[in-house]
Amino acid sequence: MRDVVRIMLDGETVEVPAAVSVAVALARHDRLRSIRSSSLNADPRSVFCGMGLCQECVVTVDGVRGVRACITPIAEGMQIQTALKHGRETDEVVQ
Amino acid sequence: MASTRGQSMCADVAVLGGGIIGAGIARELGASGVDVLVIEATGPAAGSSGRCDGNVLVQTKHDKLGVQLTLRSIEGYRRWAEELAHPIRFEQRGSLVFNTSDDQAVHAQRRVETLRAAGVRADFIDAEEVRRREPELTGELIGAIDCYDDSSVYPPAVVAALLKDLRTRGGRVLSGVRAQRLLTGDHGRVTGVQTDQGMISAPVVINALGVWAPAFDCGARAELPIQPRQGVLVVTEEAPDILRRTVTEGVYMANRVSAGQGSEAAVAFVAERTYRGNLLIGSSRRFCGYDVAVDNDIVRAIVARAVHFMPALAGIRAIRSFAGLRPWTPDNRPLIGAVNDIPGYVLATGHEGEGVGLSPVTAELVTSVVLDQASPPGSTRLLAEARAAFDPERLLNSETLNTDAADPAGATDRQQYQEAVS
Repeated sequence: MRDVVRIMLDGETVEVPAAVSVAVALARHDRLRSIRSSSLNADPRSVFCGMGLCQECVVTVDGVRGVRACITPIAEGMQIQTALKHGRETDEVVQ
Repeated sequence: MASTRGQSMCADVAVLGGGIIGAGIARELGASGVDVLVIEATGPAAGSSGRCDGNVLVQTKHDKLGVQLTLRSIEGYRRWAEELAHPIRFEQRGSLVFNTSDDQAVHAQRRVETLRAAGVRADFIDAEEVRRREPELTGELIGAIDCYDDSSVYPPAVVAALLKDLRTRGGRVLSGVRAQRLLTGDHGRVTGVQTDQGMISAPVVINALGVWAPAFDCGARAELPIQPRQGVLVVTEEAPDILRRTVTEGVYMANRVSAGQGSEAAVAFVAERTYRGNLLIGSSRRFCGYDVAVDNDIVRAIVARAVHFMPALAGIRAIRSFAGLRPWTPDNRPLIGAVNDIPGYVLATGHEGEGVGLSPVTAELVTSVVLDQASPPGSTRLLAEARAAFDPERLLNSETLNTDAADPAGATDRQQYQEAVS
């Protein structure tokens, strides 16, 4: 088993330790403070409960949106897109 | 404040229950200068007011009185949204009730005229127009009523805002204190409330305990004829673009009155867009005691029915579900008003699925009862009509008879009594 896997994070290829969660991968690449924006205003949202309940840390993984970063294990070649409305604007649009 | 042990607290009025009914009454009384104390067993909105949707729909009401009172409640919410410092998420987006049979559509066309006659803004629209207004509502339907007055609030926020406002007026809220028994003195007149942590003196006690109202011991009178009718709601992830206004399947209205009488759940499609963009999808009605565990078969039935009418929902994730309890009464009307032979004891419960819809108007009615006011000018007839229709005595009396009839010993006693006096 390799110690490191390569993933695509917002279109950029990065390396993260194997066997961590998507949330940890985001944290190691400076994304944890603002995974996405609130639907009510531009407030940044991030991991809150850390156990899959609060739905605050959802990202798009391999084209599937609404994936909870905190309870999803990382995998080789995984494509992750965050959805912050300001700053790192991505192509990800809900609907 | 948390404990009343070893001391006797006093208030002009004790309101039992910190849900949307109790909080509304307490705030309106507080705003009228009355010294109010709310006694809440768990915490604000911990019961049905935290396990419900936020719809305030005029068009689903069966009679003219229900229509007019809901319309008045919407104006009440508009006023609360302005007066209260805390946001209550009042929104007036209108709502669609759609028809799936010719019979329903014919009925709906007549209904629009009735609604308009009562001053409600509503149109009957055909299937094509329904799809223009709600593009994802693509299931087979004939037409719908779009009622522009229909509104929504976020019930836990309403309760929080009302109680916060009450406190700024000097009102008190005791959370974690359970009201157990009504205390009475000479001529059965109310003197206060026995709680699990002591006694509270108050000449007026208002039972706004919702489904838990029958458990409060008021002594002589028969048990309140209220039963919990469970409803399940499914919450989706944020999907703000899929729905603009609350949509309801036409059969919902019939279910409220006739279906879901037994332990078998009656399911009708309702979807509400919350202020955050999550959808609340329902609905179900069944009697299963005080159980708020979610039955997965009901969740499946609700989701299947929703997807039948809105196929796009199949691509939206359900993130949780919950069940709440509606305080049902045998004639589908709430119990609001004084209890005749217990001066000072007032009921405000039994709203079934209309606690949110009728909270502001219930607060108005109870305030007029407590302050012994004539109704405000311009609305005398409507509020007087409501007070007559919701008078608890109608069900307390019949319940007394029913209880006797169901209890052979009681029936025998009554028969012997009748023989003795005849």
